[in-house]
Amino acid sequence: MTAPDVTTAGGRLDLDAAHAQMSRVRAFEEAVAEGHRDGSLPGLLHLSMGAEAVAVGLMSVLDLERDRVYSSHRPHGHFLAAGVDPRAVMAELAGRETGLCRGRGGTMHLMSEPVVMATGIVGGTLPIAVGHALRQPPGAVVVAIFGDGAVQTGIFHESLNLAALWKVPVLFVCENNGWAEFSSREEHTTVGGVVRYGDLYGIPAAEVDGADVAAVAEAAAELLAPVRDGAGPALLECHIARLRPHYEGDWREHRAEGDPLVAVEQALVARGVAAEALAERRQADVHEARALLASVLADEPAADPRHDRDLVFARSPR
Amino acid sequence: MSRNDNLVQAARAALDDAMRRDPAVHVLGEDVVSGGPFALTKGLADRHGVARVRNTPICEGAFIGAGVGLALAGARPFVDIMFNDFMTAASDQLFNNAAKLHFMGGGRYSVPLTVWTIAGAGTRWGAHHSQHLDGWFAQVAGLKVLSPTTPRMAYASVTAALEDPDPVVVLVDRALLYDRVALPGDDGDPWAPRTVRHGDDVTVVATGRLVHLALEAAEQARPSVEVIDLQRIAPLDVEPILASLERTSRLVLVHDEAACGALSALVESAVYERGFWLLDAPIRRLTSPATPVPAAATLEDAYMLTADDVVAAVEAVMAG
Repeated sequence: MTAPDVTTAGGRLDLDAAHAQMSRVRAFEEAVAEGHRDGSLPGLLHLSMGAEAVAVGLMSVLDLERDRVYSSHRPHGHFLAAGVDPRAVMAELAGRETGLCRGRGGTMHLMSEPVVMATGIVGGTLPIAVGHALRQPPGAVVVAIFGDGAVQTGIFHESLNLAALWKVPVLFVCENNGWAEFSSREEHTTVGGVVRYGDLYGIPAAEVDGADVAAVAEAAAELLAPVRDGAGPALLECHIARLRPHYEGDWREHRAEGDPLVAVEQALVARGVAAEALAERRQADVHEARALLASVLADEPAADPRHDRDLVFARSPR
Repeated sequence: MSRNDNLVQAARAALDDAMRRDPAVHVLGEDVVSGGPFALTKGLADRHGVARVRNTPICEGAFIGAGVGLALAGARPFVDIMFNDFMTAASDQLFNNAAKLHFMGGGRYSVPLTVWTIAGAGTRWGAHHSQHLDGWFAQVAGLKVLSPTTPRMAYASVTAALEDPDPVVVLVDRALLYDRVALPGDDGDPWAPRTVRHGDDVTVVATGRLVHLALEAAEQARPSVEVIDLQRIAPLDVEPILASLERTSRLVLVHDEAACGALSALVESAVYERGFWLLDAPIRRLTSPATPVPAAATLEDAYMLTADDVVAAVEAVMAG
């Protein structure tokens, strides 16, 4: 297969490689959804299906050796796109001692630099990202990813205010899927667009079609350049579709339009890539993700409660 | 610190010394550049610069969160929360992040964050600037809480907190901020309860200003009273209390808290579980009533424990 690149402000984005990554993220979460349905994976699973282009587009313009990312309660795609070992993530979801966090975190509390942490509290990572950015070396940034539900919390505004006041190198990235838990954005706020908070806090802001991986990479790279130069924070609003319900197992009917994988496949086909080859890749990734889940369930040891007390503190008091 | 320092000056000296030793120590908080209302950080910005002594807006959640982020990035932040009452606005960052990240990450990160705060009534400032939340903090797995009662222990506690790899709340009784009193064991371990008075008939366990009141009460009471300064509020260490009960077999717990959810209830249940057969009488728990702290002078005076209350409790536990 040829690898048609697109040029963005961040350099050249290999669309084919982006598709490969997005396909792996999607297949991973499809296997997770199946595991939840058949009862083999426990937990309160918030899947990121529909947000794959944001994760892959963002990571493509970061220096993952030095930049740091803070994730949300839909974190799987961020970790996988940043190159974290899928087996360790799957083992964490399955509650295994060999999981990313030895089974103590679970889906919403994944931790592994360069993605420092996810969170079960909407908006909870935003001030932590600001503090972390105070100590980043010159030229390195922190990216804080959150959903549009976080924008109505006080901590979102406290964090934007601090970041702007202190001119810290943070790119705030809103994955706006139009839903906060089970309610639409219109039911939660009278403010039209998240991007408008940029004006209020005096920081550069942009909005982008979050289903378009090249557009995300382009917009993120443009906003990041001055952030890296020490000009202070910026805000990127990515409009995406939440393709799954709020969490796996919700009883409500949920539908959304705007699949980023379809979008990138259409872009590749328009550049002469064979649709069959892309479909084959998707199939192969699905097969591989199912095999990964089966192998983790069969081979990885259950988390051992005997270690719990020793993990409460880094230095246990007498 | 110098010999004549009061508690605030001693804590400041500890912070200043730590900042000189370790460039990773940073201070965050409201008005810390000018020194704050109690002069805790007075002069530190001049000596160490405003990049390391950083004023924050009034947003406890965000600046405790920023402290967590600094800690994750390798710093040793010292966050000043002017009154422990304001910690309610930051409880998500303190309870869900600072306290839990080491565990939730399977030991991947530690959070060397120090939170300094003060607590206590007696100034007619009402229920948002006067309560003691010791019992709250003690119920969060992953938090360490120290409560120094003398200048030298304040120096030791701040030093120990800043060197510790875990989140530590240093909670100081406001009534002691300008005290210069020394106590036995001032050169000892801030992480361990200490016996500040030996006695044979009854053990009184206290925190904060009540340690000093208990010592006053011990002089007035007929029985021979042993007084233990708890010092470490979390995680609880009841071993020294049990060791004392081996001799005295009677226990009075005195803490400046509303009766509901009080630290003393945690101490009481831990002692009953492990030391029931050491006791010759039911434990007496002395707290303020289960109400918010009232503002009016007559009401606040009635709310607060006195040395006479401690004497009465000691006499009562001897009769029980």
